[in-house]
Amino acid sequence: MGVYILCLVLFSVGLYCMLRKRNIIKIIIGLIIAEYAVNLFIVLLGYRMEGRAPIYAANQEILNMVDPLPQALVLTSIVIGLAITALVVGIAMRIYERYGTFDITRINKLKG
Amino acid sequence: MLNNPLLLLVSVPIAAGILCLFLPDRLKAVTRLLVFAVTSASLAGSVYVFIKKPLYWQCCGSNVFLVDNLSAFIGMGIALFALLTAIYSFGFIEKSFGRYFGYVLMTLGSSFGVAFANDLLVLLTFWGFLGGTLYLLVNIQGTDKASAAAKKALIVIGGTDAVMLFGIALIWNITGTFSMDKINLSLDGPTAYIAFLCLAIAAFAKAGVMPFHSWVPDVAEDGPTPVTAYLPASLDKLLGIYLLSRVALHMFVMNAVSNTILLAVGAVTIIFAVVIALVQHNMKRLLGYHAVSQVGYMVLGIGTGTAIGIAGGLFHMLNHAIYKSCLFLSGGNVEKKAGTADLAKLGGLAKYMPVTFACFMVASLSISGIPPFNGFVSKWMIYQGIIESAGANNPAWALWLACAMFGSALTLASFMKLLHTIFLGRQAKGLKDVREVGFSMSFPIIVLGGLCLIFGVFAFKIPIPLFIAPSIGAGIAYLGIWKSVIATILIIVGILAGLLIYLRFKPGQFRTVKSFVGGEEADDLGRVSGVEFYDTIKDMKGFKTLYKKEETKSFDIYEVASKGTFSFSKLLQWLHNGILPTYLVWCLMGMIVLFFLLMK
Repeated sequence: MGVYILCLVLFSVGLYCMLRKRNIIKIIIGLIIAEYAVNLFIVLLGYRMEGRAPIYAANQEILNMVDPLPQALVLTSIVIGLAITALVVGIAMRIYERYGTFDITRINKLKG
Repeated sequence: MLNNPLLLLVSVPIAAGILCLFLPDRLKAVTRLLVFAVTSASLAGSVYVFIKKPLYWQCCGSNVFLVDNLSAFIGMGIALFALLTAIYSFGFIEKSFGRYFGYVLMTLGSSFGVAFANDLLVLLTFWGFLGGTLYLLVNIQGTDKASAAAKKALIVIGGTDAVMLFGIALIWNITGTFSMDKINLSLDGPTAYIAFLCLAIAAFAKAGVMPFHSWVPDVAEDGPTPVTAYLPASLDKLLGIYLLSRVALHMFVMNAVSNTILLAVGAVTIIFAVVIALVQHNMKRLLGYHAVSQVGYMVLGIGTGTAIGIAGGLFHMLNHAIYKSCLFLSGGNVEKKAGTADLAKLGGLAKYMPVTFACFMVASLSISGIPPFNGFVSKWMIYQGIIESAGANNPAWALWLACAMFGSALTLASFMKLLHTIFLGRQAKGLKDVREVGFSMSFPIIVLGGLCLIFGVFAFKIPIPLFIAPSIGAGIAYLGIWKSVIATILIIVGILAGLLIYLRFKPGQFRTVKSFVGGEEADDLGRVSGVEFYDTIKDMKGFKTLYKKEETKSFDIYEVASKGTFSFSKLLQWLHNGILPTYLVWCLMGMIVLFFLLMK
């Protein structure tokens, strides 16, 4: 149970960072932290105490194996997260070019 | 359907008003003719209705319009003031001729609608329409101040319209009908009380009773003078007090509590408004505060619950409309000719404007309750009503009586100031070429001044038995031995005797010399305008805080409410800071609350 709560704490740190920080870079870091917290949580869901790696070989009983499905999912998720981070950083750079600042309270001139 | 006089009285002026809106300024003569024809026809029609009453107009299975004694009398008053105002305006209004008279006629038609309506929703519709025409009429010149005053009037009256709607809904909830002649509620329970208060508040705002008074002085100061004489001074008083008396006499059975509410509101209005009026420096604003103060007497009269008090209240309503429009119209004459309404710049106009002076004096004596004018009779009846209502139900009667009498004395004091500063005293600089106004502007004030005198001297012969007594449908017993005709003769004899004594000692035995200060002519320095006398009151203990509060507009319900609204919207503005993450925080907090509630 304790590890799940630690996950929640990590996620909250990321959320706080996203909601309360004014600098876009810090917001992006918050996003990454929150993402890792979620990944960690999903991996932990499939973990089993004293378990062994889910490697299947001949003449072996399926005993004490951790669940492989979340691990496969999280692997995908990490890759997708990387792409998202790249996209967000790209947008942040365009914003900086346009407004000359990373401060979101000063990015308030809408045009379109 | 088209031969029903009530329907015609309501629809013809409105139709003519819409026609007037499209008449260009070049066709002034046509507009004049049309307006004169319609207003005099309305007067004739209302007299016909008065003679032929009770009349009704049915539609959809119920009486939409129903005329009884009270509404027929109110209708006649409406038509009379519309005619006089129209005649006056022919001389006064120069710009936006067609628009102005269009609104005047629409006001006339919808006032008839209010007076004749039997269905509460019809009443509310015309009532709201009147608020709109008031806004348009006050704002006809389009100056900044006028439009601010018009906005204030619209918001105060429109806001109380909403209150009235709520009251009507409550009445429908209790009785299940909108017909006023079928409603007879006893005040037994919170719902009935709230309904009564809602309707009373609407009537108060229209008539300008405190704390809903603040639009009246503003409109009086910044609006065009005939509009002030037409709406806040006469029609709005007639209709507001009409609604109040309908509510208090016919729709609800009054008890000690509701009567005490009316008495307290009336007494407070009389005293506060007249004390504030004392120190005003603008003629029209001063008159506006008196228009507030006098309504207190009407509310007081209706609040007594005795036949004579109610009759006095209704009679005072009629009298007030007469003398207050006379005052506003003659004040308008002064303003038109002298070019200012600032009391410090006026003075010594009696020589140049004798007709205006005479009418203004008659009306001021009347409003101050000096016999033999009409104001005295109605105030006397109200005093008598208060004395008669003394007893277990009205333990504080002496207080109300003292308030009423003290208010009357202060009224006299402030009108002495007005008469002295405008017409008497030394002539102010730059008023040398002031001339008397033309016929169309002097005729209405002569008629109104004459009515002041006639209704005063023959009060118990003409207006009371004809208009007032049938309206309340109960016998009026008079206290004391006031015989107005004999009293008038005595007063005239007294004045003649005084004149003889005055002439005996040969007035005019003095010589005028020019005054000099340090070798320079100091003509205007030595002029006593009378404005400063009343500054002493301003510095008196007790009054001082009152005036300070008034200057900061703490009594003004409009200002107080707007402050409240703005601070509320400031809070909302502070919350809406335009930063997306802040909104996300709110969403998140809302979600947490939702989860918490749903998980339980």
